[in-house]
Order: sequence, then structure tokens, then C-alpha cells
Amino acid sequence: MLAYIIRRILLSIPVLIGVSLITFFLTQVGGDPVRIMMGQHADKDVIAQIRHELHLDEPLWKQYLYFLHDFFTGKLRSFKTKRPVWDHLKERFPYTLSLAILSIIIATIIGVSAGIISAVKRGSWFDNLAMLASMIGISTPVYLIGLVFILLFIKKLGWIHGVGVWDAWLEVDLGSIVVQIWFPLCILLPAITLGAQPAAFIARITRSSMLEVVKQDYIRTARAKGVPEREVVLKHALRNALIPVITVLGLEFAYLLGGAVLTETVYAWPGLGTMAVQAFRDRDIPMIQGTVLFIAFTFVFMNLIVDVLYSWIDPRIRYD
Amino acid sequence: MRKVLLLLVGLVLLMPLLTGCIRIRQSDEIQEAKWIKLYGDLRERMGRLEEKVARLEEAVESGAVVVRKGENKSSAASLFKKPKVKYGGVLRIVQPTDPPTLDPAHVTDSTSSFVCMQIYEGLVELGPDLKVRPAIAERWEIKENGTTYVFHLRRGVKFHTGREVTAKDFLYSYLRILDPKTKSERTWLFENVLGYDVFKAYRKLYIALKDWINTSKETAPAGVKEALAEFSKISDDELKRIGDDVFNFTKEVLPEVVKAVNQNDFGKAKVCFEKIDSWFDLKKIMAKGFEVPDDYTFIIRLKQPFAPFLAVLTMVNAAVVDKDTIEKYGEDWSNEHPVGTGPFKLKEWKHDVRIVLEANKDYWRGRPYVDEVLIRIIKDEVTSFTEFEVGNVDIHPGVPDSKYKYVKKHPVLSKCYQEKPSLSVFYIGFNCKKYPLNIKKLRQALAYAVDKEKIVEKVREGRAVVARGIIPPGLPGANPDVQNYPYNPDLAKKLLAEAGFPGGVGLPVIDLWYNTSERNARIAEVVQYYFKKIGVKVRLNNVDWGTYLKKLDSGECQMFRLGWIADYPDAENFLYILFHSKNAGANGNHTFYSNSEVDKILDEARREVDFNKRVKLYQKAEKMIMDDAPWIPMFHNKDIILYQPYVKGVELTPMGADHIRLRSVWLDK
Repeated sequence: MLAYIIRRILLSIPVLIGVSLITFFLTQVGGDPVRIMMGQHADKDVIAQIRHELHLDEPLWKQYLYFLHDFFTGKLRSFKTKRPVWDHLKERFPYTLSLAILSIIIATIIGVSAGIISAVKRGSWFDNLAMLASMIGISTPVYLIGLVFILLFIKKLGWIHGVGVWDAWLEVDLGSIVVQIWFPLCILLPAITLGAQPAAFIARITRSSMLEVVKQDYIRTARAKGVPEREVVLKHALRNALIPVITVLGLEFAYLLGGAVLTETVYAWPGLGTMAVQAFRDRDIPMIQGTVLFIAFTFVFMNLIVDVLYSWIDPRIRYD
Repeated sequence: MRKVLLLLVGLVLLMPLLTGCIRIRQSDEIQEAKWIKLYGDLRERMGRLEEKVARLEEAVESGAVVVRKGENKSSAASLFKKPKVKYGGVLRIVQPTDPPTLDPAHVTDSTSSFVCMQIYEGLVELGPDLKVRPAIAERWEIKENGTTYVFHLRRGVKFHTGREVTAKDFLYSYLRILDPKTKSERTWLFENVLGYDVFKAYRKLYIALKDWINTSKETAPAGVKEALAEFSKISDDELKRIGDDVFNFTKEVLPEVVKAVNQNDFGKAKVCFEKIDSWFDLKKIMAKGFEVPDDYTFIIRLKQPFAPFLAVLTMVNAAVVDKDTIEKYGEDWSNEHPVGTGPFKLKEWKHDVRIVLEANKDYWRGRPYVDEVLIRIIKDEVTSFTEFEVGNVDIHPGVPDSKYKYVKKHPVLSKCYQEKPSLSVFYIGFNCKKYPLNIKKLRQALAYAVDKEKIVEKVREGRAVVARGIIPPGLPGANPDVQNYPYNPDLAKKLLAEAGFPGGVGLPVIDLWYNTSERNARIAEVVQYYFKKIGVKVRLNNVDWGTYLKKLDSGECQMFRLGWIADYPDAENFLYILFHSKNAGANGNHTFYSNSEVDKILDEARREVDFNKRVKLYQKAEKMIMDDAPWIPMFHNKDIILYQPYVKGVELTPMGADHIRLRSVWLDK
């Protein structure tokens, strides 16, 4: 197993180099970052000077080496904000991570349970309703869900104070000490919004996968030997039906870790997605490079975790 | 399996502690913090009370108030009455992006400019009437035909660190902008200051020679010749004004460089390079440009008269910065320690979430009214508008297009907003150098063909005013009589025929470019429709902003849309930058318009010191440019600012919502 993990990590290095090379050369197409910074009234000499300071007037392969050097020494700085790219990532990633975790938890709970019930009670009104809901969930744009939620929960009902990030500490007084709990109500709406599509997706996958498994001989055997139905479904059937669900979950999670541009925009949530989009707009090459490499890394890492999880859920899968 | 599950559950439970979601604190600590706050509040109230008592005593002493038993109670009481303005409170405001920087040398966008305007100050500032008024400079004199500016600094103006501002700080701040190491985008602020073009030429020469030496080529690289050409533009007179030292050195070293280039003498070039390397220094060359005779006098000398210079100095880039802070914190100083002299100082900056500014209690004009300013970053306009409606935001710059009519009709909101045409212009530009748009009659025909009123009414939904000329109406000296091309399709057709394309026959398809955005696309489509009506076929092309700029600079676009927003309120900022042939391309004249007579007038106006004479010159130039029709000026956008009913003292100027001074805002809550 360990050998497998090490091999996978080593294999991911060329992937990351490839990603960085491709993005590096893609960012060369189009406008000049210095020109964009300068606005419409720009002195050519000053542009040339700044380009010189930023090494942009040197051959591409040299620029790429500069990039690698700066990246590994932590000196990579955004052209636009002049701050280290790593600082930007450090600020943004916790927001993206917490949002991704919460929305994937919500999606899993809703999706898996709806999927199981639908499969067990196939053809019932619940099944029909759940599948209709999942169809709506998959096809509704995130942006729309977000706006409707804001109008409903913030403006009309007033259950939630507002969008954006706000510190909310719940104080519990216990005599000599006071416990302050971070009560992040502000993450709830974005997480549900972001979780809606994966939830619908997972519900459908779980349902079809369960239907497949329920037909198997070992389920009939389990029922024949008198195992309670509850146990048959949750232990024998579900565990075997989980493989495709885990695959989807892993991919969805890795995808969410790359940032969720629309949700972040609607809820003023400072995640990686909006940052990457802005960096592309500004042709902020170091920022694009850093962000893309970072996202690629999390993607590769998540895929590795999913593969390891397979063997845990289904011991028949072994990698050595 | 169980163990793993248990471990996972344990981890999940521990997570909040590890990530700081749960804090355990001693009650005492919290109590103490509360007491300290209470104490602070009490002290402040005491202070205000003392102030009032002092005022009363003064009034009694001067005889304005006589306090006897039961007499004149009301006038005595009036002294104790709350002043009309209230202090305290947190002002919450929205901005669409995190400011890219809080370093004045790098500010080019409106959000950074807005935040910096609260933190920093310069020698002078713009009043609501767009006139230049004193800030840190108490007064100034303009001497020697408008080439020398002597600023007398106010005493006792302090940085947030407590150190007093002197003329040396201005010298440092301005040299810092010009220093290539700063990589400032705004060096053009001081392009007219004596010595800067000499420095630039030397710097160019230095880089080119270095390149020659590093690559050790046989022949000199093209850069050396370009740099020498720069030197040829500089007169001996100017060199002498900068200083004998500069004059002598230049006269000595330049012929050597020329010799080295002509003879392709690598060795000589190296000697020259070493000479320049050891001699050349920004401070030395700018010594006459920026001079500090004493701590409270700062002299700026220009290479030639440049009338809008005071207006240029009102830009936030020309603010004074603290040398000690910058040297202490290095390149990242402005992230956590943006130290200026302004009414607010930075308390917290949580990137992309919020910026908290606190009142500078030692501000030289007296502390600002509000205690704190909370600037929230919300990108989506619809979302931030909802936040405003719910009451989570006090000031909201701008209104989403879809909400504009709603706000105007709303019983409360319609009373809490200000709207002004900004100092900007949106136009369709023609490339005057490229066939077929180099034909003046064709350009005029196109200008007559577009119904600007309809576009403002239908596409911009009344959120702009139709352009009458190039210069926006709010600008001092704007010509009220200037005429834009009215909508007249018949005349357009006639002119089209006169240009040699009756009914559009023989005219190739023209490309209309715009940078990708829904608003631009809608306008471009309407313009295409109007041109088609007179028989001119137009193909629409859109690209992203970066590519767009590149295409505009190279003159690739035949027809394009652009907007221009004033950096400072002066006609020069429009006409000189956008139409002088010297500025063709990246410098701002993207139509490559060139009219030697207009150039002459614009040059003259720049040197003219008398305001009324300048206005006349600019009006004359504008009329000539309009006649040549390198543009179809379309409209001037309106700037809007919304605020809650209890927010007082907001003043929107034509400079736009990012020029609002929060020091005059107070909360009536």
C-alpha cells in the first residue's frame, strides 16, 4: 500500500510540471499584464522599464525558470497586488475548504439517504418525488439558487443576517471560564447552494447502484438466512453500492476545492474561484500559475485519497 | 472499522479546537476587556463634557452669557445642547473588490483610490466644486511664468505614527514614485518636472549599454540609439537649469557613447557604462526639480509651464508616505501599515472580506465624526444591493441596472441617493490612419447616423447624459455651446455619397471592436443597426480587456468603443491625452488622430497660466476636433450613491463615488 502511495505521488510530479508548463504558455497569449496595470494612459518607456524589472522582456524559457525559482523559494508575487501568491492562497483556501467540506457533507447526507430510500421503495411516491427533485437540482443554475435563497432567507424571512463572512461567536458562560464557539451561520446558505447539485447527482448514483446490488445473489442469501431487512440494506447492500458513490464524491470534492466561482460571487465568499478568474482577467501570470498549480495539486491529492478509500471499502481491490 | 470510525469522530470533534472555532477564555479576561472599553468611553465623555464647561466659562467671561438665578437659562443651556453633528458609530460601506494595493505609488483603480483617500493626503486636494484647495500645504505661490511652485507646509501635521510631516517627506514620496525600483504605474504625474526626462534618458541608455556589455555583441543594440535620440530632444538650456554638474557630465559622456556606437567599439562602451553607472542617480538629477530649502517649504520646478499641475497633485498617488514605515516593513509595508496623515488609519484588513478603518483622533483638522469605517467587499452588485436593503450597509456606491427605476420610484430610497454625471465620456472611436475611416466625410456621415439620445434612453436606461462634445458638462470650463452630431440619417446618407460611397456601395465591411461585456455588446449591436440603416456594413468583434488594449495600442482596430474617466478635473486630461498626436497609441490617443493645428493649440493651452485663456483655447480645440470627427462621443455616465436615511454629510462630486471623503460623514442614529 505504502509503495503504491509513494508511486502515485511520484507519478503526480510530471502531471504538475505539465500543468504548470501548459498554463505558463497559455498565459502568454493575449494582453500584456503590465499594459493592463497601467490603464489607458501608459508611457511606453515606463512599460518597458517595469517589464524589465519583472523579467518579462527575457526569453520564455528563462521566465519559466524564474517562475520555478520564485515558486519554490516562496518569492512568487502577484503582479497586481505585489503580495506573495502564497499569502493569497493561504487567505483564500480555508474559505474554499470549509465551504467544500460542509457542502459535500450536506450533499452526502441528503444524496445517499434519498438514494437508498428511493431504491428500496422503488416506484413509490417518494421515489418519484426524490428523482424529480434531483432532476431540478441538477438542472438549476447555482447562481439562480443563490439569488432565490438570498431573497428568501435574508430579505423576506430574515433568518440569516446577511451574506459575506462575519465572525459570529456564541458565548457560553460557565462560571470561571467562558467558552466562545464559532457559530458560522454565514456559511450555511452557500454550502446548501453549492451542495444542491452534488446532492442530486449522488442521489441518482446511489439509487441506481443500490438497485444493481439488491439483485445480487448474496443479498438474497442474506435475506434467506433471516438477516433483518435494515441490516441487509445498510450493511450488505449499501457497502457494495458505495464504490461509484465514492468516485463521484471524490471528484465532486476535488472539483469544489478548485473554488466555486458563481456561489462565491453571489454570497461574497472569498474563495479560490473568484481569485483565479480575476487573475486570468488581469493576466496576472504568477497568480494564475500559483493558483492553477495549487488547485492541480489538491486534485491529484484527492484522487489519491479516493483510490485509497476504494481498497478500504472493498477489500477485493488491492493495489500492490 | 470501529476504531477508524472512533478516530474519525474524535478528529471531527477536535477540529474546531484545532482550527480555532472554539475559544476558551477566563471570564476575568473578558470582563477586563469590557471594563477597559467602558473606561475609554467614559473618559471620552468626560473629555467632551470638559470641553463644554470650558466653552461655557469662556462665554461667561466674555459676557456673551450671563448666568444669574433663573435668567438666560436657555442661552446657557444652548451651549450644553448637543451639537448638530453627532460623533461616534461605525459606518458600513461596500466596495466591489479588495483594493489591490494601499500603496499610493501603485494605485490605479477606484477601490484602492477610495480607501487611500481616507488614509493619505497630499499637498493639495479637490474641493466639491472641483477647485484645488489646501491640504498639507497651507498656501503656495506659482512663480517664474508658471514653472516654479513653492509650497508652504502646515506645521503640526502628523503621520499616524506621530511624527511630524516635513518637506523632506514629500521629497522622499515623490522620488519614490519616480524610482524605477518602485515600479510605479504613475510616473507620468511628474513627467513635467525638471530633470525627469533626463533621468529617463540616462536610465534607458544605462539599460541598453548593460545589455550590450552582457551580450558582448559586435554592434550596439538598437536600444542605445533610441536612448541617444531621447537625449537629442533635451535642450542645453534645460540641462543647465538642472545643474552644471549634469550639463558637464552629459556633454562629456554623450559624445563618447556616440563614438562607441559609430565605431562599434565595445571597449569604449564599457568605459562609458562604468562612468554612467557610478555617476547617475535619481536624487542628483532631480535636485532642482524637487527642492527642500527648509522643513516647511517644498519647491517643485517644471521644465516648462504646465497649468494643470496643481490638479495633478490632488491625485491620491501624490500623497505623502512615511519613510520610516516603508524602510521598517519593506516591500509589503502597505499591507499592514499604510501610514499616512489622513483622517482614518487602518485597523484591520482581512483580505477580500473587510477593511476596518478607525478614526485618527489626532487628525489636524479635528477627528472625523465616525469612530470606525467598515468597508465590506462584495463583488456582486445585486447581492450588495440586497445587503443595503436589509440594512447591513450604510453607504452603497452605485445601483444595479435592474434596480435603477425601482430606486427612483421608491418612497424612501429615492430621497437617499445622489446622482451626478461623472467626468467621463463613452465614445466610438475611428482609426483615422486606416482606410476607409481616414476619410473625414465618411466619419462625419457615421457620426450623423447614430441616434445617441435613443441609446441613452433605451440601452443605458437614462443612467447617462447624452454627450454634447468631448468634455463632460461638469468639468470647469466645459463649453455649453459645443454641438455633437445630431441624429440625421438623411444628411448621413448624403455625406456618405460625397465620401465616394453612395448607399454604402464600394465600402468594405468595417470591424467594430469592443471588450467583452454585456453592456458594450448591446451598444455595439445598436450602433451596427444604425450604420446598416445608411448602408454601412459593420462586423462586430469582441475580445477580453488585455487583448483589446494590445490591439488598440497597435492601431489594429478600425472602429472601437472606449471610455475615459478623468484623472484630475482639467480639460487637458481629455484633449491633450486623447487627441495630441504625441500621445498616439498606448499613451491614450487610440484613434491616431493627428492635426498639427490642434497639436499647436493643445501645446499652447498646456503652457497658458491664465484660466480663462486656457478655457478658450480648449474650447477652440474641441470644436476643431469635433469637426474632424475622430470620435462619436456617445454619453457621460451618471455616478450614483445610495445611503441610509440616517447617514449625513455625504457629498458626491463629479469625480465619482470613489472620491467621497468619509471624514465629513456622520450618523444620525
